[in-house]
Amino acid sequence: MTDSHQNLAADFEAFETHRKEWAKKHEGQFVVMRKGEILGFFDDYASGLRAGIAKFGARNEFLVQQVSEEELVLAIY
Amino acid sequence: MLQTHGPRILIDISAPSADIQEGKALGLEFPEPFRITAVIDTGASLTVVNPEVVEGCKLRATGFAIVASIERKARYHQHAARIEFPGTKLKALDGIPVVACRISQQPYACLIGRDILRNWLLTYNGGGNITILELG
Repeated sequence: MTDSHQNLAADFEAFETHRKEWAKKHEGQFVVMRKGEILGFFDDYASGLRAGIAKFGARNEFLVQQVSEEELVLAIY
Repeated sequence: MLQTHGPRILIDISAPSADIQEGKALGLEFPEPFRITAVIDTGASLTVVNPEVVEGCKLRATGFAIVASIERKARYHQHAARIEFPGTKLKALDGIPVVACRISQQPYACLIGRDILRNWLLTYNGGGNITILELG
């Protein structure tokens, strides 16, 4: 993978700015995006991942992030 | 043994098959799957893998997740993985998210969380062992 995680972090920041807006229509779905380009919203992670690899290639990082109105805090105990 | 070590299962973890297929076509190399011991953790809402395994397997980063544990709460990278369960009839999971987070002071490198358990019927027999059946 040639990209640094900086691009991923930038896409996550963009995701955060749109989170509430996207949640109105896409709650629970997974958005796939790279450098601000939105590939689409997918019903499950694996579908988004496959679509992202097909579109952006195996060398490039892209964001696959689940849409929710608030960021979920996941617990491990 | 169950009380000492918890319900454990062997897993083979690697990059998702789509990544390997596309990557190999571009001349990228991927290691063979890592065989590691995982513990089944009903207290974990998601599957967690030690960062060394994530790096060694070349699992692509795909996003972020906030994880709260007894020790701390922090945001970690999420990565795409393929997980198989050798020696069982459990279906391989190809293209699932795992969180790269250090599992400290424990003899295993992966916590199988409820994101995977939602597909299983798990029987924990305290005097014996565990049995796992796939749902649906």
